[in-house]
Amino acid sequence: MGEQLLGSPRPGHGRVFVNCNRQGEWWASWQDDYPEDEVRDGEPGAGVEDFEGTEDEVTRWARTRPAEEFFIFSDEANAYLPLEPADAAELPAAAEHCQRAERPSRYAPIGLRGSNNNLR
Amino acid sequence: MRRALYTIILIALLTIPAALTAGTADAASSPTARIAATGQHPGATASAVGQSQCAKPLAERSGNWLCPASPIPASTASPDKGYCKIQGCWSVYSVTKSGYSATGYFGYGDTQLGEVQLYFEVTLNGAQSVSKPVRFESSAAVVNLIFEGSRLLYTPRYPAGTPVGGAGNSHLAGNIPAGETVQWTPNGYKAYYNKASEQSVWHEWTWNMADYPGTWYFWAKSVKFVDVGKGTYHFGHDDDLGENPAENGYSNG
Repeated sequence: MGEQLLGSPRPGHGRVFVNCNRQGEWWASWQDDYPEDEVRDGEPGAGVEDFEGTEDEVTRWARTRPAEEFFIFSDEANAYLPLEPADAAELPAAAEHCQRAERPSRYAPIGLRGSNNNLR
Repeated sequence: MRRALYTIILIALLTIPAALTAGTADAASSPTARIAATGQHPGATASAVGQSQCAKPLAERSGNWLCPASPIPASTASPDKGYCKIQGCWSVYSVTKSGYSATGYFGYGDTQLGEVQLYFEVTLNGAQSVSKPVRFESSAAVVNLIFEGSRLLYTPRYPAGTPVGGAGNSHLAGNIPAGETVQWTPNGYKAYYNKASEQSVWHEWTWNMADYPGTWYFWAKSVKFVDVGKGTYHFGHDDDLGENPAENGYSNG
């Protein structure tokens, strides 16, 4: 018994998720489910790569993965929001997504991305 | 002839339980053997034994016992604590963050040996669960403390959940001084699974006492989480628990 048997995510595929716990520890996880017809018996069905660190380190790592989609969880919105590329938005401070309740979100929940400007 | 048979049965009934409870903690509960046995169905390493002792006055108890004593003694909801039963309290902090806490008293015979405080928090990140911290504190020094974790999936056939194959893990924390809070280090427990719409995370704490036989255990399942699409899962309400969400007692192994 030990670490779960998982493969590596494929460049150009999968989603990267960023979240933190209530102690302010940050994680990013790149998750790629392989097509079922390409998975043989005994082989992992998904590729997962993780990273832990400070909020800055984790978001930097997340943004540099060659994945298909990128999300960050916001406690304030209680939803995953798109993780903007580093050069497309001012980077959120740690508290923006981790246990912040007072300030209005600058980010829209998944599916409402087009209305971001209305929230600024 | 019939009397002789009754005598044999009577002797067996009297001697088997004594034999099962005999031995020292070292002999009865090798942590290596306990770790090797993990990753099976929750609770497979132990059965609910010793709970009947909790109804008795301390002076009348015998053998090992572990009695849960979480703050709210009935199944009531509290806005601060979450959903509490005597086996613990389940809280949902956001759709991706949930925690469990419990208090229990354990002992042997008419001696209360200690009080344990247990806590774990699960953070969901896509289809990955990260359990950190997974925490333990005892008012008495314990030996061979082991943290275990497993991801559970629920189906109509498994209303109490069944482990996701290959996703179990454990951590030997070892001997813990009285009053010291310890965690599953360095990174807690992680698991990834997205082939079931309804899941939870299970954690168990097991420990021995230096001069007493048997292994005390306490396990609990997190609030259930459900597939909400795009590879993500959300926790339900704090009382959204599967069948048999927590259990404690002791095993002879």
